[in-house]
Amino acid sequence: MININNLNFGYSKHKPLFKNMSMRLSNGHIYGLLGKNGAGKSTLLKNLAGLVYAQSGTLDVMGFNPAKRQPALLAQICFIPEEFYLPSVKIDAYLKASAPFYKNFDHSYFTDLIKEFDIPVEQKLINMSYGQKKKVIIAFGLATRAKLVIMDEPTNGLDIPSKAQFRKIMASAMTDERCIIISTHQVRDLDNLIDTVIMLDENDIALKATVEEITTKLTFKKVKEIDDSIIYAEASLSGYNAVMPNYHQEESKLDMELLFNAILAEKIKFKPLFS
Amino acid sequence: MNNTFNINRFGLLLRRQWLDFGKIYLISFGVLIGILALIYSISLTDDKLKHLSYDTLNFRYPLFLITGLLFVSIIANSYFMHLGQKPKAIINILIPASSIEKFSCGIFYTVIVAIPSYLLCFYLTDLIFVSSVRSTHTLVSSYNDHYGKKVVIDNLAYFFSTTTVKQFYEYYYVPFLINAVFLLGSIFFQSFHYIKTAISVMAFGVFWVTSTIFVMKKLTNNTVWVGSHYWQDEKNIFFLTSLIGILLTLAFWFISFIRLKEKEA
Repeated sequence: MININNLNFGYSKHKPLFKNMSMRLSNGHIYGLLGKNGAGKSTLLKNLAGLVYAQSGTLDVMGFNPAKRQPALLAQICFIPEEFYLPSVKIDAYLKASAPFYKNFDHSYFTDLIKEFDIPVEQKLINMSYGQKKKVIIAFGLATRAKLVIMDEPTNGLDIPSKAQFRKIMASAMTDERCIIISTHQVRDLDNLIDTVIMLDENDIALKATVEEITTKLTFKKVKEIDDSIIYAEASLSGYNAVMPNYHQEESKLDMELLFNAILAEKIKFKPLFS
Repeated sequence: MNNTFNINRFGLLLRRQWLDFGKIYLISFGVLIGILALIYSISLTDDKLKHLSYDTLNFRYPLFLITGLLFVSIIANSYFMHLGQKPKAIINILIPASSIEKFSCGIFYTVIVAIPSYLLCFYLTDLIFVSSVRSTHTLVSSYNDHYGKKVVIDNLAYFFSTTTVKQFYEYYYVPFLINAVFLLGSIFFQSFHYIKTAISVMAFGVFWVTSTIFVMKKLTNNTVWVGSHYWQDEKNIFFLTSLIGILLTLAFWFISFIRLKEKEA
């Protein structure tokens, strides 16, 4: 679905954000895009949607070059930005004006999502809270039935019940034809939702692996003491939360926050495991 | 799917863009009507009508030019202004329509809708106020032209039938040129679009006028024109200025389109 080849991008020529980045993303997956502040998560998403232009390299999204902003591609992209704008109209008016651009728009699904998110339909969009507005654009985006769903910090501004609803909705929105990319800082919000982790660091991809691959190769444990087998550990109340190679094929639950810190701290030690 | 231009998609885009632009347009239109009505009311009080003279209605010429300039430029400058704000730019760039359709939509609202609606608004305001004056007053003057023919002037004529306004017809390209310049300004600048565009136009205007005067002085000082009279003829000069005006308008629209296509969010 998405092929990135030798992508070079930077907001200024002297400060590159991506250097020769290459990656392939397929449909039927929910990718979690992680990285420190300024690592380029949002920028990578913008490159995929054609909102910014790469300095060099090629980007292929469903056979299109996103930089050309062709309607056929734009109709297949659902982009939920972190900061967004909605006009001063009611949901009905917004729907009437925007939905016809998407020939697969599912009105009944949109209504279901709006009900599930408990959005006051009589209220003007501009008067809604940030969280409510976010739910409206998430509902609209998913109802377009777009094949590529890009979400930048989608759980920011959502309350606790809404986060659970969001996870449920996203899990049910996943189809074999769809590719979902979610960028977030709040990794715990995406627990059990993403199936592949992409981590950005130092102008490139520090890790791209499925959850299954990670838990096959690594084990996440609570330990009392640190030994040489441990790649990375963080002190906790009852000892240490540790990441170590999964030599004995033990089953463990991926701790994304721990993995994130581990990869950033011990990139060289992890590289041979996921090369 | 036609990725360049599709008439159905263009129609959808017109409806979609009205959500954002409609409010700005209607507010500007309301303010325009208010200003015109106010100035007509102030200029045509009973007291002033008691001392009616040939120049009583002359306030309409500067009024037409100033409000026209402001209305056309504000409308043009407001259309792509939102692209300077990332959240609005993202939503607009991702609307599934081509850049040509998005630009054409801008031209539709800021030229095809805005300019005639300004003229209509001015025409109606003038019709209402001048009809009211004409119902109670008349003021006719006359003179003999150089053929000895008597020319009668209705000093209370409707604005668009005065002889002065007919001279404006030579500058028919000016609203389009103003639109093109301010449309480009709304895409080119990230913030304070109107002020920055106005300052740029003024700076360019000053440079253009002073450099033209300087060059022409250098070229023609202490010289006598002995060539053909082609450039002495008003018609040829108007033709040239119109041609330059039209070419500049097309150039500014083209640059605006390219800037729109390349706009990042």
